[in-house]
Amino acid sequence: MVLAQRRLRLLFASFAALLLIAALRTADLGMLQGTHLSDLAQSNEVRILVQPAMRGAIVDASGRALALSEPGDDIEAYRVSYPATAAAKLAPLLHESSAALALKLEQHPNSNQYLARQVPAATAQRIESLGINGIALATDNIRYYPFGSLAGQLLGGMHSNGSGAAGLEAAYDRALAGSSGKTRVVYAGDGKPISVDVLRQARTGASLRLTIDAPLQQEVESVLASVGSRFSPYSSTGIVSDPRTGAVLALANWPSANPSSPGGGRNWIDSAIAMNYEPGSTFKIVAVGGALSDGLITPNTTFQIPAALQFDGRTINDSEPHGNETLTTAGIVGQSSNIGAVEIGQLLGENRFYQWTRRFGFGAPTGIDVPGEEQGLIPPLSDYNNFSMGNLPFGQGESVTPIQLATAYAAIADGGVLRPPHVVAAVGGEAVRTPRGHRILSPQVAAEMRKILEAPLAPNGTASEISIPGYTLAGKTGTANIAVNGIYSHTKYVASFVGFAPAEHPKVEVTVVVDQPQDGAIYGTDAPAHAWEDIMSWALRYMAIPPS
Amino acid sequence: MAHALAARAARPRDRSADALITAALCLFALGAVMVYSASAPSLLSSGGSGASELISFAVWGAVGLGAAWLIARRGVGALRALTGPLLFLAFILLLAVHLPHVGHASNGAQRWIGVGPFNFEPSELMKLALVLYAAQVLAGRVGSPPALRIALKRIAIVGAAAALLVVTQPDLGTTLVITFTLGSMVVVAGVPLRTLGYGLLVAIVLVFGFALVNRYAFDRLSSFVDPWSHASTTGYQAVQGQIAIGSGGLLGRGPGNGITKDFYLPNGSTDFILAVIGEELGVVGICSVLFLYGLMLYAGLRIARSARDSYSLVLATGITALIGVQAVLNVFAVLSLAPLTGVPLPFVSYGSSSLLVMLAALGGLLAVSRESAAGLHVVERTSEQNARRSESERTAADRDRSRRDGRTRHAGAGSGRRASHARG
Repeated sequence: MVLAQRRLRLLFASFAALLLIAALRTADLGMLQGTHLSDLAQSNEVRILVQPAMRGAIVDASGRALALSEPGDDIEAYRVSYPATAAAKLAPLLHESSAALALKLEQHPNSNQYLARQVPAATAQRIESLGINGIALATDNIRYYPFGSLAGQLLGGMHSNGSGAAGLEAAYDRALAGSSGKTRVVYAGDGKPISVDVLRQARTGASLRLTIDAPLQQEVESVLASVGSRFSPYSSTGIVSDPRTGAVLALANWPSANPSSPGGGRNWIDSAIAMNYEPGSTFKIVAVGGALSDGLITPNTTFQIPAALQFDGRTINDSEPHGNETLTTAGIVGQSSNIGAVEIGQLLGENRFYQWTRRFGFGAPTGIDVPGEEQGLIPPLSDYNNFSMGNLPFGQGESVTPIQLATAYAAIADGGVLRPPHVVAAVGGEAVRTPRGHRILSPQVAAEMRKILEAPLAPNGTASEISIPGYTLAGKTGTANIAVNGIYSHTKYVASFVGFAPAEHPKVEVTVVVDQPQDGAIYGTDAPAHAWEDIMSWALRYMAIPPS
Repeated sequence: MAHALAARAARPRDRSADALITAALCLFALGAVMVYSASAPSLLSSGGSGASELISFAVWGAVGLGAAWLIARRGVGALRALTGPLLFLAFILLLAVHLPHVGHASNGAQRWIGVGPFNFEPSELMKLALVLYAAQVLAGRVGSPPALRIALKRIAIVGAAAALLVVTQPDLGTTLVITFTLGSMVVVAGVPLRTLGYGLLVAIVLVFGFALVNRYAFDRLSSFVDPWSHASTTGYQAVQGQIAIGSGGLLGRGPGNGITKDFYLPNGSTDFILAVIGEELGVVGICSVLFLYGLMLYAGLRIARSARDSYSLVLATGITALIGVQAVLNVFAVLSLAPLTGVPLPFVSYGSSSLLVMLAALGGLLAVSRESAAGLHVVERTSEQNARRSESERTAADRDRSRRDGRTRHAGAGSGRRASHARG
């Protein structure tokens, strides 16, 4: 019995030792290796899912949706139990062959993968109702552009990852995007969720209300399209704005661009703000406005205009051949005399001319709230040579953008206040503060300028064939040869027309720029002026602006 | 009644039986909670109420506790009388398992017999029957090497026959439990350690030989060596068990909050219930379970030591070893310290046969304990011989207790031997 007692003790000691080893091993697994093992468990069991926020809409001035998002779902696959059966069920709904789907499902069964992205909600509901183990829906949304390619360059477009790719979609991406939600989902070994914790609620993005008016934009684009088909230009641009506020009502470019499939083609360049070109005669307002303000001339001051002007050894001609003649300031603008513009420029002198160029806003961005604005190229005073004042006053030797030109003319229309243009009226329902303008001309000089700008549309004016019954119009033609390899081309040029109506109290301003029109339509009067007339008459009627 | 009270008052009460019952009930209660927690997800997902395993566990536990009570009340003698019939029945049923249409297979092993919801695992009954048989054979031969040799042969023959029937199911786990339990009994019966060493060697050779010819066992052994490189196949269960325990940390995720049981960890309510305990109750939970087994082993072996006679001694040893060996094999498998052999965790795992047999065995242990105490009561009433014997046992026990206290101060093998000479 004594031996038995010793053996019992031995037995107990052995068991106790084994239990102690087990306890140590437990501590090893549970504590020493705990972090590593629980990380493994987490990667098996837990997934953080992101719920994209519904993106805010972009609407026009009257609330018409230019861009809007609708719910759609991404179809995700994770550990699908019977890939072949699942693929057969999903194939008709996803418009894919069941063989291709089965292959996708079988290749990486243990990694979470997208079977399809941005599937319309109705289809997604049908997929969910199939109740396939391992197939899950992830909320996403789909961007629609109800007006198709309307204002394509302005709106921009989306990357497939849901962020803005260009235009306003990119510039206002943060506001539009909202903030995505996050949920923590714990999955069982069979792929079913055990628990879903909302870590962060998704917040819908802010909507963007523009100053753009969709029907007006449509009209401008259709006029540009007909210019396009008639004159086959490289590109053309139309801007409609309210000179009293700087609000842009239409900002159109041809050829158009479809925001549903953003790309990098030249049609994606927003020429209205990003095209640098030599303005030609539309630029004559700088010399005239400056000389009037400085008291050097009045609208009725007369100038002797020779048939040709010798300037620093070069000959300056007007576009229409004429003998020696006498023209008033208004006459110089009305007939767009280059020689007259140079003479007024000489009165100002290069110093004041340069100052007035800058004062009208040229050589700096207008500050429009659209991304990608260019600022033209105004030679600094130090770069002036003997001949500079022989061509700068009539718009050659410097470049501007269409929006700069529209802004400068709007200052004349609005009584002398230069206002930065804008297209965004409100973000998330809160009105955007309209930037205050600054005065560049006295009201009197502005009024004199408006009167002078009626001259091109009067008999003998360069755009005398343009008229809209009942309205007095003011505007200026412009044609500038394009410098090719440092020499002005005789076949490539940019034609433009800027003007507003009614001339005495302008309520709408239209700018049309046609880059390299073909088919012999040499002068700006032809392509842009007629386009301008179409757009302006439509706008006056549409906006119910009473006749003068 | 008055005598009994006087006797209790007169001597320090042996709390072994109390400790044994307390530990067993704690494990059983924990088992009920964890079986429910581990089984509910899969039961719910297959459309049930989620409680069917819990109810079955509780019902069979109640039946088992009734059996334990009955056995403890009827006494060691009644249990001993059942040895022959039980062993016969166990062999018949084990043979029946191998018959087509009678035996059921599950998880690649043919282990069950039964009709409808009533399934029984005869190998569980065999464990208890073999313990009873070995106790019978070893009784009266304790401490006498020549007599023991005869006993050893008998045990080896009957044990080997039983093991052969069990291992071919295949059920290597139960075979190992039988081997180690019988081994523990013969160790305590006094078999020379050298003989035992040979036996152990033979057992190891047999286990590896079996693993080589049996693909199922071979896979389990090879995935034990490096479960992580077989993490998606044969090592999957071991890896998921480790992940469960690791993600439980010190205090666990809380009862019911485990995730691994949700279709990651196979057999969460049976063989791998310890992993669920680890995930939900943490290292603290597992260590509590280990402590409870330690307590049962201590109490069980104390009951063996103070047993009335050599039969009771060996029987108590066998039952205690049965609990201990199963517990250690299960715990080691879950902790990746031993190959997966499919042994349930006693009193905790879901499994009616195992629970029933374990509780019945506990009853046997309680009977041994009762009778050693009952012997004391008899002292004051009946035969003088009994009184002397019980007196000597008491003093032996007291001396032993004090000697043991002495050992903690002066550890050394010699003291035990000296004491035996003094007493002998």
